[in-house]
Amino acid sequence: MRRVTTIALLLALVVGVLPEATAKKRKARRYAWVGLHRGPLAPSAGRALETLVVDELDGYDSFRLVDAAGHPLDGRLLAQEAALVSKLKNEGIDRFLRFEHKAALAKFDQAVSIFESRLVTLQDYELLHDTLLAKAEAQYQSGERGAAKATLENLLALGPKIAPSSRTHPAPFVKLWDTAKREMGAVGRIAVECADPGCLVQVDGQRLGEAPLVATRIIPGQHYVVATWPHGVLQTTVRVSAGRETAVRLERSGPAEEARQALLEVIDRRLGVDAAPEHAARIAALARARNTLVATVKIDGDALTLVIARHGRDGAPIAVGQARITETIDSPAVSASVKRLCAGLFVEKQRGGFEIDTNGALVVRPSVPSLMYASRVASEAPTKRTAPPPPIGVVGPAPPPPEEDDGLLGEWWLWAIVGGVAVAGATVAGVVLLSPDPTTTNFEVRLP
Amino acid sequence: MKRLVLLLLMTACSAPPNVTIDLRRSDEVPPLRGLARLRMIVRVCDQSELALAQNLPLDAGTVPIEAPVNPGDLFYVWLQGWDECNPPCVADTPDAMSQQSCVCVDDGQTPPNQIFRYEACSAWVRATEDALVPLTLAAVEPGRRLCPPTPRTSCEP
Repeated sequence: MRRVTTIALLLALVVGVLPEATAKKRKARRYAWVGLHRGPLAPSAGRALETLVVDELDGYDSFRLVDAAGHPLDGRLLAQEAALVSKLKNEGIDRFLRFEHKAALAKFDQAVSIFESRLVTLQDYELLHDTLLAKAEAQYQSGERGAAKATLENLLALGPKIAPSSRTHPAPFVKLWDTAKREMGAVGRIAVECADPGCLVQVDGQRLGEAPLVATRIIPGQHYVVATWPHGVLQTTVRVSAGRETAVRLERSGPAEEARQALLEVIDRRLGVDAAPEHAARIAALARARNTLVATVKIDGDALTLVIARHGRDGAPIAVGQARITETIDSPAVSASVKRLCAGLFVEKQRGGFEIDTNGALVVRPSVPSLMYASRVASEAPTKRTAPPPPIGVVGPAPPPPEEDDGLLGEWWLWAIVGGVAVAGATVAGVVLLSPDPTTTNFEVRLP
Repeated sequence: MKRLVLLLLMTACSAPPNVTIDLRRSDEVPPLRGLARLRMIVRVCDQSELALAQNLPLDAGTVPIEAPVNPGDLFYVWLQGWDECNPPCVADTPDAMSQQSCVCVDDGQTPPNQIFRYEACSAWVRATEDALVPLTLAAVEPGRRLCPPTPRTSCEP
């Protein structure tokens, strides 16, 4: 009987532990995206290609994409963080309902802090609004009226959809809300500028477009400004005074940005494969990522080529793959090449250098890492294309000189006809040229 | 001789071509009366200035418009449907190629905050004679804008 019990206990242990272990194992790894060195591409085409690559990388379940500083570029990572904030908020509300105000405030502060550090790139701020309202109520109930009013002002500045009413909150708290609302000054503005071109600006979760821009009708108080590039995000908090304009200049700096620039410089200046690992490893460490990914566009032979490198945590290149770009960036062919290249890197998990040929087949090509980081490998340099041989019959002896024969040119009547046609032609040309041409087009729009 | 004179007269007094835009809307687009603004833009190849940027009445069946487009010029037509949105908004004009921003409209139009939500874009058109251009208004897809059409290497025929 004891043996049966022991086996049952062991089984229960295995059944209980295994799923947890598997779940831990399934936890997706973080890969740091450094960016696309656009090479000969125009800036807009480079951005479009990078967006295409990042979108493709976003789709992989085996890893989550972060930027060089570790900020999530993947919506699924944001969702995980949002779940954590939501959990903290709910725990805070539970404590509040048990009159443990201090513990509740600690939970709310933690939730707000996580939102402010990791989630301001979200476009839905409802979670922050709910947390701030709950925090204000907890502050009010614990006698901190001034702090509660300050929290309500922070909430009001974000233009929340929720508002405390006599049906949901005690009357004095609703009165405090009304007072805070009444004391809000005139709306202000935020002028946003980015040091690097191509940044998309978001204020309090609302996408406003490409910088530079001026966001208007901003309620006085604290606001969250986020700049997004395909290779990363940058966030800051600004305080807007009543009726005033606040200028913000967003510039990427710090160790992660320096490491990112250093790795891109290895590509730009062709410093060699050996120069890359140091920076790739630093980025992996700063972004808390397992792999570092970087891409470039090169001219290989007579075609443009997209090259993507995958470096390990130690910075050593694991795989470098390339695929030709034969059409415009928005064409399905380029999208298919990006997909195929990423599949070679992350599904087939190819190691070393490889190429996706025009038929979509993966071909081992050890020189690809050198193509990415250094000058071309001499042995694999494509042979110079020679002009095709001329078709048979084109090359031959020089044509004989034209025979001197007046023929019809000597006839007087021919010249009379030519003269007549010339005069008629000149008349027609004159009439046509001097007559006014229409300079407009009539449009008629038929609306449904 | 009579034929020649007739030809000369026809050439000298030629009328501008008529381009009929037959607009339809896809399922995700509400009836036009529900929009804040329907804007028509015409851009001629190689010209930085817009040939036409005009709001269309939302309740009219047919809208006649004359635009400074020389017959034979290459151009495209862009119809934009704008909705009302909540501030904050960007100080801009509706002609901007906005990235789905909430725009503060300062041209006296209401509502004062509008967002570009629907679009229809023609291919490059060269109208030397009357032409029919069917267009379908559809929801703007971020990252997959319809206009402008693929740039041309040359504006010449």
